[in-house]
Amino acid sequence: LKMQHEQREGSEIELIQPSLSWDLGDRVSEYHGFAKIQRLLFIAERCPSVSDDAYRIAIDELKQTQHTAIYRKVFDIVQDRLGAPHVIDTTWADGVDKKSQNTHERLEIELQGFKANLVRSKIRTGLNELGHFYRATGDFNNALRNFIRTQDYCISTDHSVEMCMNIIKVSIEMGNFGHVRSYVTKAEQAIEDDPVILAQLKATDGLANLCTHKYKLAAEKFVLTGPELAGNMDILTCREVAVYGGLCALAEFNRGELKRNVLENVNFKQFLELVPRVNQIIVDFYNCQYASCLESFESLKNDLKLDIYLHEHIEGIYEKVRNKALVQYFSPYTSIDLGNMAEAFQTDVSGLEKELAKLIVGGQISARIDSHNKRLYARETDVRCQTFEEALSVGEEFQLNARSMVLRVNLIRNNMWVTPKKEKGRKKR
Amino acid sequence: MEEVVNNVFVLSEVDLDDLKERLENSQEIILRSTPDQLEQAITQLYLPTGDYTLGLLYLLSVKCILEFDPTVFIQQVTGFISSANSVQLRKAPAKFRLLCEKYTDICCQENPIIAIKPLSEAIWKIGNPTGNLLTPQHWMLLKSAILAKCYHAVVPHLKHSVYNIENTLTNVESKDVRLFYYYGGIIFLSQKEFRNAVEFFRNVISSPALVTSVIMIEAYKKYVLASLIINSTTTQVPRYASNGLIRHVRSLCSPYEEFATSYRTNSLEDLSKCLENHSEEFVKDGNFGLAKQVLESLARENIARLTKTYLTLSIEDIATQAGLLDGHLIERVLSMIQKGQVFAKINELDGMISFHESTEKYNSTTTLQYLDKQIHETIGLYEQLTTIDNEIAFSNEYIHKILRSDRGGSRSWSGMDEDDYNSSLAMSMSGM
Repeated sequence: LKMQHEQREGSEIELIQPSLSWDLGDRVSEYHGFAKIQRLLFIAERCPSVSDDAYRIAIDELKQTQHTAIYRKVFDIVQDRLGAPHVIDTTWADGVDKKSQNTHERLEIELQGFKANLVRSKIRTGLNELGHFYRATGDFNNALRNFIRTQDYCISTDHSVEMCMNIIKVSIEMGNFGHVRSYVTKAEQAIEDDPVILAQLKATDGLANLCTHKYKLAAEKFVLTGPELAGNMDILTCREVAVYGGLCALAEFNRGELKRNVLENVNFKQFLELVPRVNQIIVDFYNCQYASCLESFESLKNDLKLDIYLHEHIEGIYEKVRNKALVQYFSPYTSIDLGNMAEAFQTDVSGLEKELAKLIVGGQISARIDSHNKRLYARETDVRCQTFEEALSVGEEFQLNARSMVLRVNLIRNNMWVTPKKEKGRKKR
Repeated sequence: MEEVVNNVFVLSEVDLDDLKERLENSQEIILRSTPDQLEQAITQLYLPTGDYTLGLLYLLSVKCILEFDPTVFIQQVTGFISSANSVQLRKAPAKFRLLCEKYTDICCQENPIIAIKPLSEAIWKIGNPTGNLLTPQHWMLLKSAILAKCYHAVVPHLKHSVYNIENTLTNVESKDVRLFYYYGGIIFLSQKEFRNAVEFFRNVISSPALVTSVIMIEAYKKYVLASLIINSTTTQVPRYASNGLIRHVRSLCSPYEEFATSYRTNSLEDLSKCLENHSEEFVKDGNFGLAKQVLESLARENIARLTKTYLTLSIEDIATQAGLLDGHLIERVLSMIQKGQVFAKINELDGMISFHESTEKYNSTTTLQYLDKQIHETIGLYEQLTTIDNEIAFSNEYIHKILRSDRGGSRSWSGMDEDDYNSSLAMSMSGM
């Protein structure tokens, strides 16, 4: 079963063992419908210990929906091993398919009728119904097409906002995050003052940024999400907003931004209270308790790898946070003993040396390693000398280019081009 | 034949243009004369004061097309050049060019060092005394110097900032310019002045071109290798070079491109493997020595990079981190310290090398003088560029082109508004 955002075809799926405090029921109970099924199947693929349970819950949920294609695929994987009552109920599946077909025909005919009579508002509702129908049966491309078509028939801002929200939700389910961002912008321009919709927009915008690796933007959007999101969003829960927002903020915000936007942000604090472990990580980092911060982060990593949107990004985020911690740790010192630092970061001295070397080469720490005495020395750059060096090199570069330019102008003025040889029969290529 | 010689005797003092015409018309006669007649005429016209330069030039250039004795020819031409009269030479630069080319060919087969002095004289006789008028003889001189391995004699010619090119005076052709810069680049390579070499090769490959020439391809190959040696950030063909070159480079120079990519990985192992794989190609192009120097340069670069990260490092660590597998590490570091590429101290007791910051403080008189010189040169270049820019902007052709494109309906951009147009037209009319 291929999930929409699992784009790496041939790569192996990493099997993960979650920590003891991770519970399948907790994780999926807040969702329903397609969102729940998506997550259950994702977890089932990756976590062998709860895979059977996950499939069972998924099958129960599938029976409440019209996603017969997914239903059949699940049974391809699972066959009979789950035992009764979780065996394939083909009569149900066929029945649902037949009903879907009928509904489809009916809606199409109705829509044709509306179009013939050119009743704008009816056409809009007809297209929307078709869109919702396609979405319910898992045909996201058609759903998207129909929703986009309603744009021509939208009269009021409410209509436009409704259209945008529909498109955004379908795009997320498809994994097409480019669409999400553009329609979020559209909706934000159209909306007047609906806090629920605003919160939904911010959350989805943040999600789109996260999935396209723009962590800083994601963090900015997530921390602006209002608490009105609670209970009003079937794609993203408050808990997810808290986790994603908190971790992205930790990875990308500097100290000032972290303080202002996260720790002192009343709205976002409400979100963070839902995930005390992430909250603790952020607070630890801010208070420079790097050992405990990184330790809790490590232990949380496995659980986070079972999250459908975060799993691709968690290693990257962890590395960023760790690098930030290293840089922040060293910033008040002129020199520091590598042994002490290694202990604080729970690694050995040679490993730490390698990490630091990478940071120095990357320009994030201005320091030098004394490998003999195992110390790290801060390095002041002499700005004056640097300026001289740069000025001289820019000057030389200019002269080089100017001379070449004058030469070329002279050549062109004297009409001296490279031309094919005329005398011999052989032409130069 | 007698007639020709008489014409020369009579008209050389009086009317050179007339003489030239007559000589042009008499080329058939000269061709049909016997070798003895030709030799006799030549001896008759040869004078140390060079009064009959023009006539002698025509006779000798005819000799180029016929069979002749190389030693005699060399002697005659050497004598001719040292006695030649500039004014008369300038009447027939094309002939002179032909003559010199043949002369260089013959000398390079026999003994290239003979050609050097005469060709230097030729340059300033047909060019101008300061030597910054580019002539065809320039590349001939360089070629002889390379073959004679006598580089120091010609280095002054390479150090001019900018060359002027006057087609009519010197009969210099586009190929001559490319050859000049190509050979010049090679000489710089031999002197290990890699920055200048890169500049020269770049001039070759960015010549304005309708098609790609072999010279440009060969220059590109050396350009890539030399750029790698000075560890410049790019070995790309400049944007202003012709498109054809870029396409041909891809098909013809792929070993060099691969070599450059493998250099960028900073791994000495990869680079030496790449060198081995393509060694045949490199040897065939005569670039194998250069490629080996690239290898050395990578080793040095890797060490230099470590100095930015580490304060002290053990010798084994340097060896592993820089990927240097042979045991010459200490000698390398020593030579780098001596050349000033790295500032370090070697502690043999501990097996440690400690690196220091650069001691260049830019606060001495040498810095000041250097800065001063650079500033003046830059100002001079900038003025040259502005003059050229103005000349083009006020030229008739350019103004007409702008007008045409405006009229052509591209209303979105009008390069000049009414006032600018009027003033520039006025200026061009007043003969700027």
